[in-house]
Amino acid sequence: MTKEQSIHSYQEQFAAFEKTLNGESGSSFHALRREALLQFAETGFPTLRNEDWRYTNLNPLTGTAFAMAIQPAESAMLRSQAKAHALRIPDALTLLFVDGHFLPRLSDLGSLPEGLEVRDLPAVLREDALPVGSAATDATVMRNNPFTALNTAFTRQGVTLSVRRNALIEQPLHLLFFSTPAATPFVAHPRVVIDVEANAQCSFVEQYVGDPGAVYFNNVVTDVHVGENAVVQHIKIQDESTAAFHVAANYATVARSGHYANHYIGLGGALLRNAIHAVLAGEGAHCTMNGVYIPGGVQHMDHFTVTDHAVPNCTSHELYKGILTDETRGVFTGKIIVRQDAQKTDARQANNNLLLSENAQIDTRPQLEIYADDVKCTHGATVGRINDDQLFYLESRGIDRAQAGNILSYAFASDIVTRIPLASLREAIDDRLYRRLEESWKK
Amino acid sequence: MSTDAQDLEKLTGQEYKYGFVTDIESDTVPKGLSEDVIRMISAKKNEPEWMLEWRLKAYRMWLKMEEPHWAHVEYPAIDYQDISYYSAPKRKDGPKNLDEVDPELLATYEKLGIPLKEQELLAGVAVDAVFDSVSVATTFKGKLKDLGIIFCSFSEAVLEHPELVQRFLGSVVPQGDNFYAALNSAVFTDGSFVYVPKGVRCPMELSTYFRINSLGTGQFERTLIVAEEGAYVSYLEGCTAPMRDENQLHAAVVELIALDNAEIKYSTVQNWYPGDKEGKGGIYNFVTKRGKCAGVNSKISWTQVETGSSITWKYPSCILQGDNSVGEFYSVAVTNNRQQADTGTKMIHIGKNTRSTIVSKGISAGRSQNTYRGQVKIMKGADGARNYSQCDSMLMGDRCGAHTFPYIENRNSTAQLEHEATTSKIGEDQIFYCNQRGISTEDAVNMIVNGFCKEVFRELPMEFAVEAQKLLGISLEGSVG
Amino acid sequence: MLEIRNLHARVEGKDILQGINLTVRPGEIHAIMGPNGSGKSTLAGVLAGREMYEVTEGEVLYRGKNLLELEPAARACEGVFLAFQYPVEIPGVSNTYFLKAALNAVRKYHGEEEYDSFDFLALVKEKMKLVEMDPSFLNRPVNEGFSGGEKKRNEILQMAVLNPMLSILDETDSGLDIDALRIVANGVNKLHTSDNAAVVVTHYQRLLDYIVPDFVHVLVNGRIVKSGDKDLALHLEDHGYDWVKDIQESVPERV
Repeated sequence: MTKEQSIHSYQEQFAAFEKTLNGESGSSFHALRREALLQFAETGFPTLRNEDWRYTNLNPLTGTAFAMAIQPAESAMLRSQAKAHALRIPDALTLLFVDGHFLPRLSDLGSLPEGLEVRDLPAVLREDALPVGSAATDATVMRNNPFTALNTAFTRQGVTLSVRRNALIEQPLHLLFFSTPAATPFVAHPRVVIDVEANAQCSFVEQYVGDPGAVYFNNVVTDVHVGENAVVQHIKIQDESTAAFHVAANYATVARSGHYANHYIGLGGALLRNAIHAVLAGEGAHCTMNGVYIPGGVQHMDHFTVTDHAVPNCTSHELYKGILTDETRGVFTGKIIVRQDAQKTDARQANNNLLLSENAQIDTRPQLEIYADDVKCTHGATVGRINDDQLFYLESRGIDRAQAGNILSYAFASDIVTRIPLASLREAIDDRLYRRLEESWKK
Repeated sequence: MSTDAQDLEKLTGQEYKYGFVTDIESDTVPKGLSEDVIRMISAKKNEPEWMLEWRLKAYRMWLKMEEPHWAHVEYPAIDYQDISYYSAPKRKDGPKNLDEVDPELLATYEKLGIPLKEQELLAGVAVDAVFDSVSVATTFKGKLKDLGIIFCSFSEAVLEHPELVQRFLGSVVPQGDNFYAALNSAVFTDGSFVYVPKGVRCPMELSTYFRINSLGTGQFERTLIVAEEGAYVSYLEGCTAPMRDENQLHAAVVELIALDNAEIKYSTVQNWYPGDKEGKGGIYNFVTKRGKCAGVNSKISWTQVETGSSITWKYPSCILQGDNSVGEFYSVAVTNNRQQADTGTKMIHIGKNTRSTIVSKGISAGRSQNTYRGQVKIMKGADGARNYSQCDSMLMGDRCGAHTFPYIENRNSTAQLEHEATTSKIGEDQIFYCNQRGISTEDAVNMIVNGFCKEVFRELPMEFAVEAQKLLGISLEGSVG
Repeated sequence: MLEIRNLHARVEGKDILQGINLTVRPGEIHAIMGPNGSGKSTLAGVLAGREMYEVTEGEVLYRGKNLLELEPAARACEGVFLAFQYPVEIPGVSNTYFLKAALNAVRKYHGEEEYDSFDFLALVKEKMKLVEMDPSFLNRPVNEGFSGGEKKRNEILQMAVLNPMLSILDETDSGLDIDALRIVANGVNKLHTSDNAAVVVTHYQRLLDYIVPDFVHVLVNGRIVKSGDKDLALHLEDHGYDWVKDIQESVPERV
């Protein structure tokens, strides 16, 4: 299928989708959907000539025909099926999404802590209530991000999460996205809107899982607003089927003295693109972005992060690490923008990569774009392999090479995990990482 | 604003010192570009048929190409049909020595502080001065000739050494490499040619000063330097240009080829007219510079100090093809007022154990935009390749921008790459510390900036380093607050 | 030599110095002690002309001139030297180059002939012995990669080369081990003559075992609340600053 045919098939899907909306097609949000579709059709899929997509060839994605995901039948079995793939986070509340659809009846909604509100997106949209002015629905954003436009065109499934002023939510909220094995590839466009009001604190764990070998396309958009002095821990564990496509755009705005931390663990997907756009919009705001990606086999993982310092006195720290094995390909782009008014910015960024196989590839682009003068900005990037002396040292103590390599690469990756402030989650992730690395060193 | 800032503001107000127009009758081809114009240029230069064919091929490629827009610079669209592609100072026969050179030209250099005669006598530098597009003076040829070194204008090389030109021209920067290189290939008027034979160490720094004169004339130099097996050569390029009202396009191509165990050092001090305070006038500098380390253990080193031009688009690069070959890039780029620079390097590692070093120092002042863009690419066969990159930016004033865009592309697991970058403001506490020891703010800024750039300056030949430091002082006067 | 009258100064809108009075005569060494945040470093900074401090009231006469009217570089040329608590690093600028530029700036100010490299090096090497510094320091960038002790020794070396009339040592002892402290103090003592003067700002009495002050002043909340001789420092060491805090309301003694 050519790119044009692919765009055309989305247009056809949209026509069919419109018919299912029953009376909602007159809503202001639907007008936005139409605009988004027009925008998407006009821009088309990004090509390698687009600087932001220079290292990711989308042909496998655009060459696959995807049907629209259908509403799954809610059953206890479905829940246990999904849970089987999920990380066990003992103290978390689970929100279950299957094939992009939020399933309230299979989620832990009965025991929500005070100050936290969870709403099914279709219900919100029926009231025409999704905040239209949010980053992900912005015209410029859609023009520059065709996948976001595509998501907006099809936005119906998903959830809105609101944390009230001063609320302290201790239990992490586990958003578990499970994709079922299906006969034909399907596409889902889930939308998650998180609004954390002033002085509130909360943690979200977004996890994507699927049956091994299942072919599907998750085109995710997450819209996060961190209120004044609020603290949000946003953890994403991307553990899709290794045959799946996952394109995600996460838009975060951080108000005065707010703190947004995004922790990313990337393991799954045949072709993955994870974009984070964080805007530090109020003075004293802070943003942390930490991530680790460990593709295996022939996986392609592209990480695109933008930290936009819009106002003075904000800080941002970013550390991304990659371990590349087999015939994998890793891409990292980290852009720090310091606007003219953003004096006294302190921004740091680093991207470190281990290349463990001769057929693996890494492309890394740490970028500084600075328009203010009184700033401190640094970035660094390294690419190397495991230190031979260290390997030998471990071997000389009786540890076999595979095990030694595993220990050393695990130490490299776990640096990211230790920065996640939820102990229960750290253990679960650690365990998952260790198993993943063990697989790669056994080969 | 602090008192220091005001002082500095006053100082930065300094106008371009080297702005003037030499009144010389020029032999200029009418504006516009076509196959006929290219034939005319080629005919004026008495070029052989193969050279004309080469140009025409480039022109046909250029017609199909699009002007690149990915650089972080903005400028009004260029009308390529509104440019005159050839201009030469009028004279019948080439001068045999300096006495025959048009006295007005010599006076021009005098004003620029580059008295040819003095240089010849004192500095021991062979000078191939380009006024507009044609060489007007070449010195020290005899001495070089004894060693078998060819150092002449490009036009002369086409006529005298066609076999060498045909063998190497376009072997590093092919005609269709990019939009500006294609344009240059079609219309280049002159430049320098250097050939250092096997095992010869060129005993002196080779130097050429480029000037731009003649209203509305684009400059398209072509430089080709070949170092045969075991040869060594150090080449200096320096530029200042008279003041202009109109923007002037400059699209040079420089090709370097180092064979086994050869080394080429290419140093540039670029101080073309940057435009006035509002950015009016000034040179557009779109240059393609590339070196190929074709042989084993070969080395190519680029050192540049860029203070001029209103727009700079320039990425001196190294193709590290030979095993154990080494590429280096040392750069200081200063932008002030409305200048825009998008500059950096490409290091393409192909051979085994190839090494590259990148040290880039960017200084932005006024309302300028200064971008480092560098690519390090490790190809699959480049076992044991290593790169170290360091990009530091210094900001002076709150209306300028400093941007760092490295591209690190690795296809080989045994390669090791390191990239570091920092951006910071010139330190107020550093200036105060100097003040407290009795050093004035102006001297303190000069001292701090020169210290910041030291790693690059020490790569420059001595006399160039001195000139570069002076230039930096002039370019930045009054920009600190 | 130095007369400070009712000096008030603020930084970022906060009043730090609230009426300092101090007189320093040639040949004297004054120690200014006080708890953290009492304004010691502010006083040093105001005297050297640091821009971040705003003088709101009072005057400072230095050898008959209004010191506060002079630019920082002019104050240095007039012979006011500040040994920094945190000497800054200047990457790429060698110690030699820096010192020579400074010395010649001062000489030029006084209409004296500038040193050439040869005479300068001879002078510096002589002075380096004073602070037991290795000549290799000269080629290293100013303070870059220096240990804490090396930085402080470098400050004293600069003092030795520039030969100031009034030296202000701001917490020169902080972060020094006993050997480095001895070297630094020894340097200061050797440079002291009956013509010049020093103001030693410190938090601890320790330094004063090596540099014996003629006067000790206790600074609390931006005012000198007690003055005395070196025994006052010993008393402070034993009783802590709380002892003087109680008497801060009493009228400061004029020295």
